[in-house]
Amino acid sequence: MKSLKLSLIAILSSFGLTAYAGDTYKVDPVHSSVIFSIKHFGVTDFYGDFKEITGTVSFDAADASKSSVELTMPVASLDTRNDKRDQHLKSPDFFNAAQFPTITFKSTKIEGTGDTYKITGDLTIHGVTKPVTAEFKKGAENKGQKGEVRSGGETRFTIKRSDFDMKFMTGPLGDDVNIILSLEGVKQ
Amino acid sequence: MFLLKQILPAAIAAMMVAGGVCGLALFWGKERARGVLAPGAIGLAYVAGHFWIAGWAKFPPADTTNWLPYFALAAAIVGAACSRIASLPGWARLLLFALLSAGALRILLKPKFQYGWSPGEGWLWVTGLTGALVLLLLILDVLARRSEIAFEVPLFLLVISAGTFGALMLSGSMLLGQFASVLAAAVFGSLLFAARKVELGGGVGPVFCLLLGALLVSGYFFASLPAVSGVLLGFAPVLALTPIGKPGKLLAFGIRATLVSVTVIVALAAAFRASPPLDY
Repeated sequence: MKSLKLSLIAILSSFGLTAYAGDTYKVDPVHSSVIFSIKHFGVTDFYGDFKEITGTVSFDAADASKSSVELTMPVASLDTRNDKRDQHLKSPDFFNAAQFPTITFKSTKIEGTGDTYKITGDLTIHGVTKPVTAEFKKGAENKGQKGEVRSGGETRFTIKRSDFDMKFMTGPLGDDVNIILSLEGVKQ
Repeated sequence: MFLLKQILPAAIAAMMVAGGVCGLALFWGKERARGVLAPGAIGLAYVAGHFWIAGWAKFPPADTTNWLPYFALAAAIVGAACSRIASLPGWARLLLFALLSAGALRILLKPKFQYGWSPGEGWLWVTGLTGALVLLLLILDVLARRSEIAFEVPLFLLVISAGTFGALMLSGSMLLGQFASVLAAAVFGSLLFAARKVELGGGVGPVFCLLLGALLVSGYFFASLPAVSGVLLGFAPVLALTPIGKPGKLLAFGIRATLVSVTVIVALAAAFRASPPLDY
């Protein structure tokens, strides 16, 4: 009777594994970065970043289409190394942090194998949701100081701020925003 | 120079639309048509200027400030309907304006309901602000009835909207400042009406009050406009009702204009003191 129970548990477990074979990673905000750059007066790019990022990545190496990414960044954590500029960027002229306190990304389609994946998803900035596609280069998987399993990767892509109804000062400030998203997650 | 390039085109567009509608109304000739087109002049001029600045956003707009052109149109319809088309009693006009204002404020302050306030707290704000807008409309009505100079009320509206433009520019949002410049330009464009002694108070009141209120509320809740500046700008017309005895027509106008202007200047000074610096 006991062996029958064990067999049943083994069969049910194997079904479970078939349905969910991926790993879930919680984004480590300390070792993840969201950096952006934008052209100023057509001269050169200035850089800024979001100090806080939270989210989860469910990754299925065997079938990437079962993977998913969900990220959230508070606009209040924006930092361009100049308080006055930060305050202006958070005002109704740009991000309008009082109305739209977060930036979110939710994947809708992931494809690829090995170290390179194409991620498509809905990016919501300034209350406007637009689909974006980016190529994600997966990094290595290693153990951290406490023995936790860490993995991550990086993607670079460009969006147009006008697509997100942020049209103020288009001209003096470029429309293209280059984004570098470097994620490190801890396996749950 | 850069600021002028940002502000002037939309302001000129608003001024031209207001002037054009006024011209049409004057050409049309009939007093009834003029009364209908007076609020339309400011409403349409604001719509033109706003879209010039912000561009066309998907409807319904995500940024609640982009509802302002729709508020302008709705208020223009209410203003026109109440002043000339339907002979509504005064209380019905106020009730209609109060309902429109409450709806507009609920839409404008949606993010505060989402991220800050409890529903009770939010509705308390909406009710209080609606009351303030109705009071402002009543004040403008009284002022329009009392004024003996055709230019008086539109001139006060111009001074207040120009002051609002300055205060919002200082509040850390040039965009809101630009929207206020469009309102000022629309009022300026409609001065053509006043030149021909067309009464502006009744029909224009709802459009001006709702737009001014929405801009000040946006400045306070979404930018850094100090409350004192918002209150002073909103109630500057009250000063024009100060009893000043019975001096000559022009002297009385001068005193009232000075009182309104001083209030606007104090509001600007308060905004300047609280202004987040944008000189980076």
